Amino acid sequence: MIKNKEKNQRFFGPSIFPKSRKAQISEGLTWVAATIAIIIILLISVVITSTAFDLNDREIIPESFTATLNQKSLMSYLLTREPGGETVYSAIKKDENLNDFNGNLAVKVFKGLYEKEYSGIWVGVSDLGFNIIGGRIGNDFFARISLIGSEAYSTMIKFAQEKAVEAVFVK
Amino acid sequence: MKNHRIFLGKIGAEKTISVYWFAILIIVAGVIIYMVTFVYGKPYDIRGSESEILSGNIANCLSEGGYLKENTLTNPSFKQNFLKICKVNLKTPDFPETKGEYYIEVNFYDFNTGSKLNSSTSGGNINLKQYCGLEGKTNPVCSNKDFYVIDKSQKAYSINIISVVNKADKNVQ
Repeated sequence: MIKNKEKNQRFFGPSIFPKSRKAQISEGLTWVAATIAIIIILLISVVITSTAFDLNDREIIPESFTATLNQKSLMSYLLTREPGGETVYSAIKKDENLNDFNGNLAVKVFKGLYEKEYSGIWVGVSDLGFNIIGGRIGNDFFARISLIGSEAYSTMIKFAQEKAVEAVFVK
Repeated sequence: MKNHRIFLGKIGAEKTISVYWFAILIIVAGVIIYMVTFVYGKPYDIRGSESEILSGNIANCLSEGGYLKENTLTNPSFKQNFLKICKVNLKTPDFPETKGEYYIEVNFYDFNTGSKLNSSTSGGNINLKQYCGLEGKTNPVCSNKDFYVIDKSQKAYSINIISVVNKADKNVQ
């Protein structure tokens, strides 16, 4: 009759020492703990996925496309001729700020057409040598707007090395 | 008898572990499938972007380099054929049962007086326009955009482009 130890050795190959009952319980507990850990990790993943992706809001907001029309308005505004015959672009370049005519025209064009769509609009001359906030030169037609924490879009056309006419639209 | 029981127990343990791994594999695969379905199962609503792109293309067709394109207002065929002139195709072969899934309207206004000009034109399924301004996910998406433009003789206009995209079946579930 073959002894139990020999039988185990033959059947399980490298496992020379059969596990005691205590070791088997310990190993079983490890599996139980591992299973619980795996299930918890999976549940956390499912919860994160469910909260991170709001299925009720699967709309792609078109931000970059609206810019085309605002740019067109700015371009046409700068090409408009003042009563003296020069373009708004030339007048701004000369004065380095808005004058009575082009300032009022800017209000009529940009506030008139886009006030419903945007909460804040600013048009004027920007000094590109400064930082974003300090670079916008104040004028009598548009109040300064804060861009901190807001969703804003800006379009500009340069008229000097570090100067540009800029239109800022805040959502 | 005791030895025989231990021998069967070891085999049983290995079988149990195999079943255990199989169960874990099924659970992990199930969770992955659930999460992927959750994220990608419903379509993204891109109709807003589509209507904006349509408006942008129409605007590009009407204005170039800051000026209104020549003959846009004076050419009578522009009013009838503006979709063809602007190379806009509103056909929707994916929706054969509808009268069209798009509507585009272009309104020209005298910028100084605000009066609407006769050159205003439209194309597509006009029934979609009635849904503009209404709330509801399955309603068509409208884009109402304006821009300022001058012609070569310095006459100023404001152009209003309304583009409506329906295609609710493929964008909303």
